[in-house]
This record gives sequence, structure tokens and C-alpha cells, in this order.
Amino acid sequence: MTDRYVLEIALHWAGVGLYVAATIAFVFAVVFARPRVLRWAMAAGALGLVPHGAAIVLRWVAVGHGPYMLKYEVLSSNAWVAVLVLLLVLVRRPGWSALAIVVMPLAILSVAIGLFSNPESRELPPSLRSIWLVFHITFAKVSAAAFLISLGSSVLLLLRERPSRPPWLERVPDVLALDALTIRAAGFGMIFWTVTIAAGAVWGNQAWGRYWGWDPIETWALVSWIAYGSFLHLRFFFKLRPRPTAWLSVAAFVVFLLALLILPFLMTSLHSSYFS
Amino acid sequence: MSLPRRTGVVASTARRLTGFLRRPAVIAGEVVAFGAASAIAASLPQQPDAYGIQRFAARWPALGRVAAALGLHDVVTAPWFLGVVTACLLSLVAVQAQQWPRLRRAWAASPSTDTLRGAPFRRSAPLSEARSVPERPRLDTAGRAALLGSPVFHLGLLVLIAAGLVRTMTFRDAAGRVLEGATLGTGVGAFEAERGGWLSRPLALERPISLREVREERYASGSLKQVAVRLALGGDAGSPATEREAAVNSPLDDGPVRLYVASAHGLAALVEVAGPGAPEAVVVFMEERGGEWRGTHRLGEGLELRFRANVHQRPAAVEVRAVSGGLLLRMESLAPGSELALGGGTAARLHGLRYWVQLRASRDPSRPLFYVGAVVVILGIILMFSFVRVDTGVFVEADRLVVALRPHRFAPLYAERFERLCKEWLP
Ligand code: HEM
Repeated sequence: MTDRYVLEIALHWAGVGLYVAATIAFVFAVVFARPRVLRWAMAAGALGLVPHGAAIVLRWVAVGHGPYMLKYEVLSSNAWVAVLVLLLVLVRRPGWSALAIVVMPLAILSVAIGLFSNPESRELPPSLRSIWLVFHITFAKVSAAAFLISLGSSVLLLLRERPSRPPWLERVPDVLALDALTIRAAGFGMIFWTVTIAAGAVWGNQAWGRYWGWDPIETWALVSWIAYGSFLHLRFFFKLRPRPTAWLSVAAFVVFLLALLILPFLMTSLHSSYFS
Repeated sequence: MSLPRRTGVVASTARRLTGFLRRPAVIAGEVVAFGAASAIAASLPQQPDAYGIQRFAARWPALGRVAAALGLHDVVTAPWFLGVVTACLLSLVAVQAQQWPRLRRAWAASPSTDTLRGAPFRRSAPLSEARSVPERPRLDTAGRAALLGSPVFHLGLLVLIAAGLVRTMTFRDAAGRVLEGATLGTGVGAFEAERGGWLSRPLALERPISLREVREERYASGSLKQVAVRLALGGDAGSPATEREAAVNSPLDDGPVRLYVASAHGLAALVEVAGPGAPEAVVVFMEERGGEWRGTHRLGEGLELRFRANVHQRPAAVEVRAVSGGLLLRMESLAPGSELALGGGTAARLHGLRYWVQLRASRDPSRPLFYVGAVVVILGIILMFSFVRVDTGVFVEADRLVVALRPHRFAPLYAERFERLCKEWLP
């Protein structure tokens, strides 16, 4: 184990530690209605981004490519972007801090799964050396963050809709606001996911001679895009009430998760050269 | 039947059909069906992966039979899939025919005290208590661009589907392994394999293309970093050839054909096997396995020649082993010009070592259409979700100052904005 790797892992765990502290503070602030603690929660979260970001940059410099080849790199960097996006949303809308109760644990879980997977670095094969890959990956990470916010909002909505709910749930935004946020965040996710797929198509055209080839991984990306499209259609056309809307949002997120993080590591496809 | 009556029947059938195609349940069904079909295509092995399909059938015989009977191993060319795509296309046309005129009307509409009567955010105070009172009603609208979102997005989808259909019918792809020094001729069939849509013509290069050199770049660890080629275009009929470079991710356009360099490449041994009969010239294509170039040539009667070379630099020699029934008979390091005796008067002589690379060629008239569609879809989705039309009004009604805010979507997210507006005007 090299010194660099030890430092990278230590920085990762420092980030995770701060995220855990932030999560506890968020829970405390929301459950016990302590708005002052919220500032500490935000500060701990923002501070966590520093060692976590440093770990990602350290590896980037050492392996010579961005965080998009190994499960370890992908999960860790996705979590970093998700925490950043969450904090940016909360800076503008502190009233939404309950979102952190859903988003932060999932981000921490993502880094932890990454840390327990094989960290052995691999070099970038020729087909991945394209500027379009940078767009493809960057937008995928931002869309994951936006969909995660949408998921967080639907989970809070479902909890709030339960007949026997704890009193703190009364303090999270009301059901209609959560419903609107679920759709709005899914909409932003769709913007970034659309660009992700389009950038992938341009890159596929450069690397393999076709913009679309029904390769399993690219097709799953399309399926998840259509899953969100179907969810938004159903909600729009049938004026769905918040509860079914929230369930559909959870279902669309599951399809997205399959497409982005699970199937690429399991299926044989043209993309297999870089997911391992 | 008289002519006007017949026209009337046609018009009413068309009206009923467009009405049907615009029905929410129909549209939702089409989109879900397209998604489900894509999920099947992504989950089951698809043509031309014959080996994958065979393996699937052997592993799950019942599922394999069902999949084969329903054509689920070739989803994207199955008639039912094309039916779903056509239905989507028709619905999109029907929806677009309604969306654009509606957009014009919606765009022109401006907020009035009447339209703001049902605004979700509305507060009033007696004029005497208002912070200030505008001289004339202040009616404003922002984020009109949002209205463009859905029509533009669905127009982009229409273009993308059209691009997909054009591609299905007209694309032509070809691929083949090409040796350094070899030339791809201008005739049809220059590549090893070729496929295309129903309306596509066989691919033919406009001028011959010779592969002058394959250059590979490796990381210090030995793994592959880049494969680039130097090509000579033309050069027949006495005209000088033009030299051009291409590489993985850096294709080359020559007329309507685009040439791609694939990562698949390797070393080729040019061998002549001479024995009691006529000498046989063979090209042994080696591929990278376990950090080495490796390839095999079978000579018959269980005898095979196994070739091996280091991948790090262009090799000057290869190790050749003659193996029969798993038993090593002979082994030699051969440089071009030397030979390995195989016994019984037979020998394998190495004539040369060259790199080979897989070159792909493609002609796809749908490409520009696809790019236009993608840009329009992105623009549409940005307009749809980054902009929200919001009408605001500050006006006097029955001796009270009214402040109203009417977001056309996501109303609950505008409570804070409304409070800020109220703070400006109301106590
Ligand atoms: C058969 C093809 C399709 C048709 C006929 C269709 C039609 C429609 C219609 C009529 C609307 C209502 C909005 C309006 O009237 O302006 C709509 C909204 C929408 N559609 Fe489609 N659509 C199709 C495919 C898709 C696909 C494939 C996606 C994305 C994956 C999509 C995404 C959306 C979105 C995001 C909305 C807005 C929903 C909202 O405002 O909440 N559509 N579509």
C-alpha cells in the first residue's frame, strides 16, 4: 500500500466523519427544531467536502484520469457532487434542510461502498480519451445529485403522508411544496441526464462510428430517461396526487440507479472496458 | 356517395384519429411501451450476438423459446417495435399540430386583474395602510420562455425519431482488419464485414486508402494509451497520395464515408508454410492477452503453431512454438527471414511482422438530423424546467391594494417570492 493511497483513504474517512457529524446535526436541527444547529450542520457538510474533494483530486493526479473508471472513484465522486448540490440548495432554501436527512446518509453509504470496493487503479484506454467523456461524466454526476434531491423530497412526502407521523415531520415543508420540489428536481435531473446521453452519443460516434448502437449500457440510460419521462407524463396527464407521484418518483430513481450504478458493473457491453 | 360527403368522412376520420393519438392514455402507453421494449433490448442478448443468444437459450430454455418466438432477440428491427415507434411518431405529430398554435395564443395572453383573481398567492390591505400605491395597475409576466419548453422538446423528439428511422433504413457500417502496407480498394466489399439498412447501398471508398503505419502508445505500465494510423488516400492513376492521420476517437472523413480506428489491433506474422505440397502463405493475427501478443495457426492433424511476442515495442522477432496434442515439439525465436523446421520436410518461414488494426467505415445520412434533434431536445428540456412563467400584479380593487402572484407551475415553491413582493407594498 503506497503512502499516497493511505493518505487518500484517510482523507476519504475524514470527509465521511464530517458528513456523519453533519447528518447528526441536521437530524438534531430538524427533529428538535433548532435552527441554530443548522448552521453547524451546513458548516460540517461543507468542511467534509474539503478532505473528500482532496482525496478525489489526489487520486485524479496520481492515476491521470478523472473519477469515472472504478466503482470506488465513481461512487465517491458522485457522493461529493450530491453533497455539494444539496448544500447549495440549502444555502438558498434553509427551510428544506430535512432533505439532508435522506440525502446525506445515501451519500455516506455511497462513499462507504466505494471505499470497500477494489481500489486498484487502471489507466484510461484509448476509447475513453475524449472531451465528450468529460461532459458525459460531469453531467451524469449532476443529474444523479438532482434525482437524489427529488428522491429525498418524495421520501419526506411519503413519511409526511403517513397517518401516524412523529411531530417533527410537521415542521418539514408541507406536502404540496414537497410534491412541487419532487417534480422540479426531477426536471433539473432530466436536463442534465439528457445532456449526458447526448454527449455519450456524440462520443460513441467518435469512438465506435455510430451515435446509437443499442449497447446494453447506453440502452439502460435511455430506459431510465424514459422512466423519468413516463413519470412526468403520468403525473401531468392524470393530475396525480402527491402520494402516487412520490411513489413514481421512487420507482424512476430505482431504474436510474440500476442504469447508472448497478448494471454497468454487471453487464457485458462496449462500456465494460472502463467499469470494473 | 357525393364528393363533399366523402371529404366530410375523411375529415371526421382524421379528426377522430388525431384525437385518439392525443389521448393521454395513448401517449402514456406509447412512452411506457417504448421504454419497456428498450429495457428488453438492453436485458436480453440481441442480434448479431449469436453466441450470446445461444448461451441464453441453453441457460434458460423456456425463456429462450419464448424470447425467440416473440422476436425479443432482435427488438429494434422487430415489426412490433417499429409499430411502437411509428405510433409515437404519429402521436408526436398530432400533439405538435396542437402545441404550436396553442403556444401562440398562450404567448400573447398577458396577465390581467381578472386572470389574477384565481392566483394561488393573493393578499390585500386597505389603501390607507399600503406602503405605497401604484398609479396604474402593475401587471407583469416573467419566464414566458417556459411556454416554448414542451413544444420545442417534443419537436426535438420528433426529429430524433425521424433520425432513428432514417438511420435504420440507410446506414451502412463496415469493418475489417487491415495490415500495415495493405490497401483498401475502391470497389464494393473492401472490408471483411459489412451491414446496412434496407435502403442502403454497399459501401465503396471514393479512392483507395493504404495503411502506411500503425502507431501505438503505451503507458509505463504497458497498458494501451492510444492507437493511431497514418493513411495514404488516393495515389492511384498516377496522382500523388495525400497522407492523413486518424486515431481512436479521431475519425477521418473521406467523401461521404467516415473512417474510424478501433482499439482492436495487434501484431500479424506473415508466414509461409512450405512442405511436400505447394507452399501456403498465411497471416497469423495476434491479439493482446496477458501483456503479450498471442496468436495461433492450426496446420491440421493436431499440429498448431503458437506465436508470442512482447507488446512493449514493435517486436523484431516472435517466439514460435510447434505444439501437437498439448505437447511442445519445437520452439524458436524467429526474425523475418528465418524458419522453424516442423519435421517431415515441412517448415514455417517468417516473412515479416506488421501491425494490423481494425478500421471501420460508416456512412450514415441520419447524423446531421440526429445532432439537430439532440440540440433541440436539450434546448426544450432546459426551457421546460429552468423557466417558469410567473404573473404578478399590484393593483387597486374596491379600495384595497391587492398583491397577487400566479406561477404557472410549482406554485408552492413561490411562497417566499410572494412574501418579498408583499413586503414591498403591504404593511
Ligand atoms: C409518444 C411520444 C410523446 C408524446 C406524444 C408526448 C406528448 C406530451 C404532451 C401532450 C405533454 C403535455 C404538455 C403539453 O401539452 O405541452 C407532454 C409533456 C411532457 N413530456 Fe412528452 N410526449 C412524448 C414522449 C416523451 C418522452 C419520450 C419524454 C422524455 C423521456 C417526454 C417528456 C415529457 C415531459 C418532461 C413533459 C412535461 C411534463 C410536465 O410538464 O410536468 N415526452 N408530452
